[in-house]
Amino acid sequence: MLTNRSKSFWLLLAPAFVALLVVLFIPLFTGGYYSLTNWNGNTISDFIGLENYLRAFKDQAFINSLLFTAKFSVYSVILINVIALLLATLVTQKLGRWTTLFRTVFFMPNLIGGIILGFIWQFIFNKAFESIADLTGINFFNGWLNTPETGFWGLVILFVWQMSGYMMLIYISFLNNIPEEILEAADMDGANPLQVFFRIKLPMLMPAFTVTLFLTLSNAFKIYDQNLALTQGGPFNSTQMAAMNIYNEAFSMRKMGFAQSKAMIFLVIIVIISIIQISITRRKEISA
Amino acid sequence: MLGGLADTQTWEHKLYDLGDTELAQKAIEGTLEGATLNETVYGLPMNIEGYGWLINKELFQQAGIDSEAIETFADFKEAVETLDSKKEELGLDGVFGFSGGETWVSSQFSSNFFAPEFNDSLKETLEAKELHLTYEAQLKDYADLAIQYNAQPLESMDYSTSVEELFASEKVAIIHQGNWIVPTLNSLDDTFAKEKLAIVPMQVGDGSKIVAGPAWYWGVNKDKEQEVIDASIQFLTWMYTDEEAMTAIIDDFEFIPAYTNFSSDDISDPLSNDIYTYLTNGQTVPWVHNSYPDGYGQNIFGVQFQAYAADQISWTEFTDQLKSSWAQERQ
Repeated sequence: MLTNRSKSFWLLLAPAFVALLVVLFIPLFTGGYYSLTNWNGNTISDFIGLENYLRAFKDQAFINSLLFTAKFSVYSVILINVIALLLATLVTQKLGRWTTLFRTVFFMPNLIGGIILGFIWQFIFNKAFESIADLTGINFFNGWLNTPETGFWGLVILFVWQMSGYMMLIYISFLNNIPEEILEAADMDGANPLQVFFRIKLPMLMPAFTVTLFLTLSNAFKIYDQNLALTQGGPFNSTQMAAMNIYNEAFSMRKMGFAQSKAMIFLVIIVIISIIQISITRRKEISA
Repeated sequence: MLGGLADTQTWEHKLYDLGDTELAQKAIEGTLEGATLNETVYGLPMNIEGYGWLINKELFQQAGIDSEAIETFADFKEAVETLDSKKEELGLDGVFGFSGGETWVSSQFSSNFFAPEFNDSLKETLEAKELHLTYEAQLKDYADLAIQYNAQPLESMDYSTSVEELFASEKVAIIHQGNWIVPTLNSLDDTFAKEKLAIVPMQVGDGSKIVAGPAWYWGVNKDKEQEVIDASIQFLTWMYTDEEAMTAIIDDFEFIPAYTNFSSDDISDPLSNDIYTYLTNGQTVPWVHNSYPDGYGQNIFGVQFQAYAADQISWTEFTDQLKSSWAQERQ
């Protein structure tokens, strides 16, 4: 039997453990060390203690990018989960062979990588929308991605389009796992579809919410490639998200130590939010 | 490949001294400055690139303007206003196609106005602890003109729209780019570069100048075995002195050479030839934006320029930000 004491246990665990060590733990600790220096990626490296962290808290661009990222996350998380749940309930109706088709079609956007997606949507917002604006004269379609607001909504639309399919799959699997007996019992008690949805399906979906909220929240916070491809953070850094701010600080401004301290702050924020979110939704889970 | 003095400084501890090489002797006067620190030559120029206001001289002619007669900012402004008044009949979307959305373009634009302040010296720009923006007025003149007459909002126009969509299809008359767009233009319209492309200098410090100089330098890693270093230097020398290689450099790469063993008659592209002439006549300022503090050109100047163009900040806020960031980065 495989227990913590047997050699095979550790042997089987080793590859994954090594990978985690190299990709996660070692960078975390060396990064933590560098965040206390003024390393520029090359030569200079003096220990300066917490100075980087103090500077990071005063860096207006960093704070703006954090607020922007937070705003983006709130909107995207709500929209993605509402849409995904809607699609999931639609697709789990008795549709026969159409179910598979719909599931595939709705999931496909998730398969396209972030950068390509950014360019596709950039084309849609810049060129396709412009053409629609020219043809119909509706000014709403003019000048997308030129202003902070349209840049923001462009990013939200892109991310919602990409993630809804993935979340839909998770909801589908949880919806399909709700025991038939409960639904039949509700039906026999005379509940209408809406009541079934809100009183039975939703509470039973709490485990699903734990997963989906966590995924969408942490993914939304960490976005970089869609941001880069769609708006490059512009105009005038108004749509620059936290990851991009940190990346630019490290590789463009060559201030690795300072950027690392910002990254540590970013990590702490994400961890705190995730812990809060998971503990709230965990408490609401009911088992059948 | 080193992008100038700032890069050279970053990598100084790994670079081999190239001062005694044949190519260093053949380099055009002044071109080695961008890779020379503490009197040691660390890089050899790859090519010369020049940039500034690239215009479609055919459109200018159709509007009745002689682009070669533009000698002051007032002349330039008048030409722009004439072109704007004739937008309809010339089929223009706007006079300028300045891609302010690309922060590197704005960063290059800034060189015109920062160079005279630092006496056209790359070294001085690298060492300057403060930015005074001595030529602030000229910067404002040209910037406001471009912002006002740009075909689309300046702060969000990208490179592809500016060069490939608008300039190549003659929807704008002026863009701020350099001779590296010639291959792109040739692929879209092979008569453009030969017949319609020209460059107009700016009047900032003394005289009319464009920005030209080596964009990139070849550096050699000194931490390799001597024979690898020797072979690298031999390769570089071959690239710029062997007949076949030299022809490739001019015809296939369409580079403007930085070495005296090339003759200007070989340069077939009219714009490249013009730039070479400006350079040899001393009517150029160097690529000082490569000596700015790391990331300053794009992330500070480029971004703040977008904010100014979009009316998010005032001119004074713009210049204050430029000066304070410079001082902070150069502590």
